[in-house]
Amino acid sequence: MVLPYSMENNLKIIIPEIFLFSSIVIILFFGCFISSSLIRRYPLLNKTINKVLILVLIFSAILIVNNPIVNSYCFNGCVNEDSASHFVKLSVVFSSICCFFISSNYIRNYRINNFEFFIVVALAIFGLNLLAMSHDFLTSYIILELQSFCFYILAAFKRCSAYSTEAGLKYFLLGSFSSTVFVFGITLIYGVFGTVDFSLLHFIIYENSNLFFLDKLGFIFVFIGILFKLSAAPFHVWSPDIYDGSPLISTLFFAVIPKISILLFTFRVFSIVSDKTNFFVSIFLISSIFSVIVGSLVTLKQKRLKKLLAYSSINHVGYLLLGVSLFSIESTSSVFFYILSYTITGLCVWSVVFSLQPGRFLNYRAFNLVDFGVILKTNLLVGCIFGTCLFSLAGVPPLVGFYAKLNIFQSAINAGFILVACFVVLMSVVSTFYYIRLIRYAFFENSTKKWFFFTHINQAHAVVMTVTFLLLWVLFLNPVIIDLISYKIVLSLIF
Amino acid sequence: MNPFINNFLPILVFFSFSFLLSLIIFGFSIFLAFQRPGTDKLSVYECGFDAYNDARSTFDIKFYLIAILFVIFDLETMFVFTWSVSLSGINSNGFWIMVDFMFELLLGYIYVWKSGAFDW
Repeated sequence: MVLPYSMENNLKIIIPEIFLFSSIVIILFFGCFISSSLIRRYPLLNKTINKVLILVLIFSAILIVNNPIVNSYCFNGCVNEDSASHFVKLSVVFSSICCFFISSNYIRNYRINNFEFFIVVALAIFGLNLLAMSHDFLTSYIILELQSFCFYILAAFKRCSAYSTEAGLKYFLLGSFSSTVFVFGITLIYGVFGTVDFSLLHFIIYENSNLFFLDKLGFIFVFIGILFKLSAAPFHVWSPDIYDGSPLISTLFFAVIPKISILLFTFRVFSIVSDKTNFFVSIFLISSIFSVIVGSLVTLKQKRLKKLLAYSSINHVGYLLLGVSLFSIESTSSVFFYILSYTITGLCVWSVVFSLQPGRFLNYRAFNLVDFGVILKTNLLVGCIFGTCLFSLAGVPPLVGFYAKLNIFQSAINAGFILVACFVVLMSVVSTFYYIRLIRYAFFENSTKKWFFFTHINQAHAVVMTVTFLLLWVLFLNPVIIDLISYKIVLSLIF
Repeated sequence: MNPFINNFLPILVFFSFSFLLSLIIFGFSIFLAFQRPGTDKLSVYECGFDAYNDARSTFDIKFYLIAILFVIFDLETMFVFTWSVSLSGINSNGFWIMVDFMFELLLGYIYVWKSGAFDW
């Protein structure tokens, strides 16, 4: 069978990506020619490159918004643009613009002097944009590798620090192992069906009455690879170590940007087997319950901020996977609602963390929870914003995190998973404890041993902080925008 | 003939031939050459420093860098060979994709050059 799009080659749909990539190349050349020039006395370019890349990302966001073509294919069906990829790309680009704004002060304070840093980040964003569009197992594998390689480099970026290099090496070894599992699954699928194209696979599986053993095995391996990339339990062990070891600025990019794109890819793969879901639902359901347990219980013992945030992200991935495993229109839209609101909350939390600067004699990487004891005394406003973010992560009512969790639980109950829903709700009560403990440290604890100092928060950083903070409230009062986006994403996925 | 065998027979022939050839070369070099073992012959050569040393001592990464760059710029031959064989079968799209690939490789080469990885 030849699908109608198989020779369609609509280059217009990847113009934003072409623009992004060619500007990255030009900026790379600008960097390597200027930074190695003796006449200009080897200038430090990171601040410049940060600003130029913000401009480039804004332009590519404009290109994405103004793209008139909906549901078209490129490169013989390897790449597909529909409204799901449209909105996911937009959210990736916007969240990364916010991350660039947040991190502009950090590079000066912590002397990230190699000009390649933001270029590597931009390449990761390029990879994530393409991942949202990929419509082919082989393409998605290569793009996933591009994205992961950028993240390995970011984890190991502070090369003089033993922690950072350790994190980078760990990430590289474990990530390449998971990619091997992923590509092995693809070979099994290709061996059984003779194609790697998503629509064709969906068609073949839809026609056949039942799946073969090898075929199931192939999909299981692919899902394991994806679950690893999402850092869901029981494939989560890498994430806290790497969050903790890598420099703060890299952790920001790991934590905020990639999840939504990988999640869309998960849905695309899951929709291939959507008619035979009973078997695959259990994988995601088990992984989700494991993630919620690990994310809730192990976090209680954490003393470091970054480890706590890593485990809390595992917890949130558990809720997301619960929505993924139900695979109804309602649950899928609630998953995208959750991830969008989680991204906004994450941006707010990280912008607060980036505005703190430990005193001169503190180890820069060791943000302990006790250190937050003075946040209220040093800057009341930022302290209040921090508390609000934590309440939103915990899912306390007048904030957007509440709706996100409510949607997921409601769709679980509607689908008949009442026991699972009750269990996850109970676990979410446990997870509220550690957010509130953090608030206790921040507001009610009198530790004056260590003092945090606030860096000068520049304008853009402050704008990101306040806008995301206000969005937490506004989206509770009127969640229509984010709801509409998530429904538009859902409608273009195959059901 | 079975199409499966038909497709993979050349590979089997190649594989068995290369196996035989390497066996012959390796075996004759053991049986025919004069063997005069010595400690100097066992020592490391061309790699700059002693392989068995304290793990904590500093060493120069130049050799590794050159090896990695060699791998990157050597691996592209693998693509070029297959491309040149199948050039008649693919349309102009395939041709321009290869040109694009070579161009991007050139970009990487210029970057490596300017960032001083080739300075010995």
